[in-house]
Amino acid sequence: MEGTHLNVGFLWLIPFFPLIGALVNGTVGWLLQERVGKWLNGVIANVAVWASFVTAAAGFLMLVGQEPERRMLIDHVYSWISVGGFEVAVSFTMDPLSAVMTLVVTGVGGLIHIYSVGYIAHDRSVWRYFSYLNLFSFAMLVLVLSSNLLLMFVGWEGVGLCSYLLIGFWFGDVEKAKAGMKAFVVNRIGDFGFLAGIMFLLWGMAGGWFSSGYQASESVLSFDFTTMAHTVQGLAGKQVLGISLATVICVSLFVGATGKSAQIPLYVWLPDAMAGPTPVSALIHAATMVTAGVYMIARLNYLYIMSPVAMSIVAGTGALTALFAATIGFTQRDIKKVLAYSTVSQLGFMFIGVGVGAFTAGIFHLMTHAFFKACLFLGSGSVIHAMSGEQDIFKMGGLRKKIPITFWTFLVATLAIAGFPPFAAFFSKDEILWKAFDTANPVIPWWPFAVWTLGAIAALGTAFYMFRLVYITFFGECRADEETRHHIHESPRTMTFALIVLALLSTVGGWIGIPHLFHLPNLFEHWLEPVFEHSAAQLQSRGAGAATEWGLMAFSVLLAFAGWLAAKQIYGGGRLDKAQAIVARIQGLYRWSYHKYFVDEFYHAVVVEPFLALTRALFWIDQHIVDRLVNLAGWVTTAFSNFDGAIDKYVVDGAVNIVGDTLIGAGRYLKKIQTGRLQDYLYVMVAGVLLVILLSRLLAGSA
Amino acid sequence: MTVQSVLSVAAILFSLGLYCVLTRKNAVSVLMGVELILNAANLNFVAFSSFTGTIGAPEVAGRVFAVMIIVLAAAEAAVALAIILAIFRRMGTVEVDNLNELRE
Amino acid sequence: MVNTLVFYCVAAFTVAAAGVTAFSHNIIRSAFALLGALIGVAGLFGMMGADFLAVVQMMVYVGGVMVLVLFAVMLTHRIRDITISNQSMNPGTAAVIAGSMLGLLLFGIWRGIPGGTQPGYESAASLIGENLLSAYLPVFLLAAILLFAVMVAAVVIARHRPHPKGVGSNQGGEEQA
Repeated sequence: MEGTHLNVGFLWLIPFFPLIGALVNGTVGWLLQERVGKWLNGVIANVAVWASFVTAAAGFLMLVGQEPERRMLIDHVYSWISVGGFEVAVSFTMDPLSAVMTLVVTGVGGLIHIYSVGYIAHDRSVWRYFSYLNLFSFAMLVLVLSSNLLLMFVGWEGVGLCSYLLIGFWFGDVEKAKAGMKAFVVNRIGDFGFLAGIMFLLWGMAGGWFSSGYQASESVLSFDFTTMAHTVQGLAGKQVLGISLATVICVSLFVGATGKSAQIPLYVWLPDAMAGPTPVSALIHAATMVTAGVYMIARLNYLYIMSPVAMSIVAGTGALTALFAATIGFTQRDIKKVLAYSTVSQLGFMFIGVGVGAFTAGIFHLMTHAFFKACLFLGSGSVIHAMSGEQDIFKMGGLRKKIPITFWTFLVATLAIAGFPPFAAFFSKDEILWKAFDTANPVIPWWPFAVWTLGAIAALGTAFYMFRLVYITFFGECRADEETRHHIHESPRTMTFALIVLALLSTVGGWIGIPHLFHLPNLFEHWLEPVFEHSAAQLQSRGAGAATEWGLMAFSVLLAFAGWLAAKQIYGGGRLDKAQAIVARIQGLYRWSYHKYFVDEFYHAVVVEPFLALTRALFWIDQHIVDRLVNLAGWVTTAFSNFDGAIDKYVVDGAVNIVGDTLIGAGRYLKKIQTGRLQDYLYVMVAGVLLVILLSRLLAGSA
Repeated sequence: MTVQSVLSVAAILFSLGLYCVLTRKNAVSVLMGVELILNAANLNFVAFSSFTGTIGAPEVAGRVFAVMIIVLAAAEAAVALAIILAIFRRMGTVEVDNLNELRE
Repeated sequence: MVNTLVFYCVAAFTVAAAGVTAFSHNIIRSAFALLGALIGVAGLFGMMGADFLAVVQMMVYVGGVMVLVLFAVMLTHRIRDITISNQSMNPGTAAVIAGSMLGLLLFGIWRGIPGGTQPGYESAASLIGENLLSAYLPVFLLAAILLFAVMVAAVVIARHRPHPKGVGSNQGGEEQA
């Protein structure tokens, strides 16, 4: 292992720059904002995040310069925990996988920072916003660069905190503050799973209660990713309560991933998280943080590959979420909510990817998704900006001419997400669906087909709801009131710049991962090969062949067109009347979708209400039973105390007084022994000596 | 002359000293009794020393103790007589049965 | 044989002198009888071959302690009431106690101790000296320190001081130290 990496000393700078930015803005930012101006806060934050982008790019170039199997930079900062043979270091690793993530986080994050300068300019506390944003970048970079699972967990918690802070950025609004709390609580449930997974992993590696006589050697106890790649093999064949230990660990960790990456059943926080500022939605709740779960599974690919059951669960959950969220997206009226469910759906695709072992495809989709979803969110932010804060798409329409840059970038991103060639998602999503179809599942033979079917329908739905959004928002007549219509204007240069760059990336971003089918080099897969080679060797193709792949690809394009055509048919030209007619016919289904299948209500009824009822019941018990008991106990204690007091007063005190009086009386007599005469004492002394001698004599004689 | 005979003399001296200490009113006389007792003890030490050693090589520890006791006796006599003088000057008497300030 | 006879003579003298010390009503007589008893003990020391101790006994007790005792007697009593100066009290009780002590001791001596051989008369003074300055050196030094302390203490205690009150009333308390 040691010969296959480079030790470098600069990786710590990558998370360090945003941390400094966060500290500067967090401590003296308010002063700068007041004295110098809001632009300075933005400049500080941007300099920080772009500095780390440059550092990351330098690291990336270093990696490129290495032989493929030596592509790993390690920066050991210091030893964090060292207990016996258990070592955890604060050290950063940049291998091809984390290099991709770092570049996405700092690159897309940097664009969003630029965009934010324009977006947040009218807010009261710009310094707080940029401080949080930089802090988030720091936490996210720690997450992706960490060399071991524990440091990753630190970053994991850090991004959760920043997410909470930023969703509740406008905490004056109770709804928004509540959304922040919801995100935090739901994430906490997931984090519990993650933590349980870490515990299981440690327990398993340390030996557990296995009877096979397996003993942990000193070097086994490490959470270091490269070390674990070898040591987790020791978990093979171990079972807990009849379930494979690897499955237990993987499923626990996946619970953490469902929380962070908004999968069923813990996705409910993400749509509410749209309460935060739109750039935050783009950065945290679309491009970076929510992909942490995908990244984690890809990072631990060698662990997941050991448990086909857990892989199947991941893929199944991903497929279900992809379709489920897409159908909710059909009916939403809030532009950001549509995008939020779209994000949930796309994250589902990524989980399909990593769940079927197509880690490269999952990460590829993660990257392209970061481009086009950030573009979409920033575009929606631009739209909202233009509409003076209006988010209901039914009150928009006809914006195509008024904000052209926003429209064109938004359209490009929509084409990308819908999967039209040659835009980004065409390659990444197709790769995922192909791998889902082709990779054999050793546990459930029909699973790949089910996953693929769900994914394909979700892809169709994606195209539909995205074009619906585009038609309603940008085409037809403007349905806004006069006042708003008067104010519609294109966003400032900083915002459109980010949009253009992201639209460009959405277009060309997919070209680095062109499938082998086109006989062009698949740069992305080749790049990530060293990370996943071990896992890839264990996956088996079902042998569908190139012809099937061509067929499926064509089918995907067909689906995208079908979705577009359906949307055009119903909403073409920005009309709503046809849609209303259809809605009237399927009123029931519409209501289910519009109300998000009543999942929130379901959770409220099944989790929150019973919990509240339980608390009420406990309160009643407290009031009527416990309090009575306490009162009774109090009364009994008082009575007993009175009784005891009487005993104390007359019996105990009496006894004490008797003893005292007796002693005083005895002393009165005994003091007469003290005559003060020398000889009297001598008599006693000598008599005592005599007595002792006599006694010892007698006793010695008797013995 | 056996060790028993010497020890018997010492015992008699001790008893007489004890009687003296117990009966005398005068503090100086009490002190004389104490001197008798100390001499009895010294006699014992020397007797054991001489009768357990060989000729010309007595058990020397006994002799050393005897020397120390003589030194102590001299010191004790000096201090005790000084105290008696001081008491006489203050109280006008050295009768020990009158010196009962420590009573009760 | 002569030895034994001499021993019994010296022993008898010593015991008789001690008896006078214990029973005499005249304190001067008592003091001089003590002198005799101490000389007798010195003789016994000599007879047991402890010539060095005999000399020390003579010099320290007879020459030193007795002089002190006599001075004390002279200083604390007016010469005219010497005769009634040495009263006894509770002689019966004391006699019983001292007698029983004597009986017990003699019983123990004659029953519990094996007889010893008669010692020779060679001087062991050099032996004592060597031992005092080697094995028993700490004891020797402690004794020296004790003697010094006692000398100072005796002088301090016996020194006649003017009454503090008289000084204080004249000087207005300014020179009380």
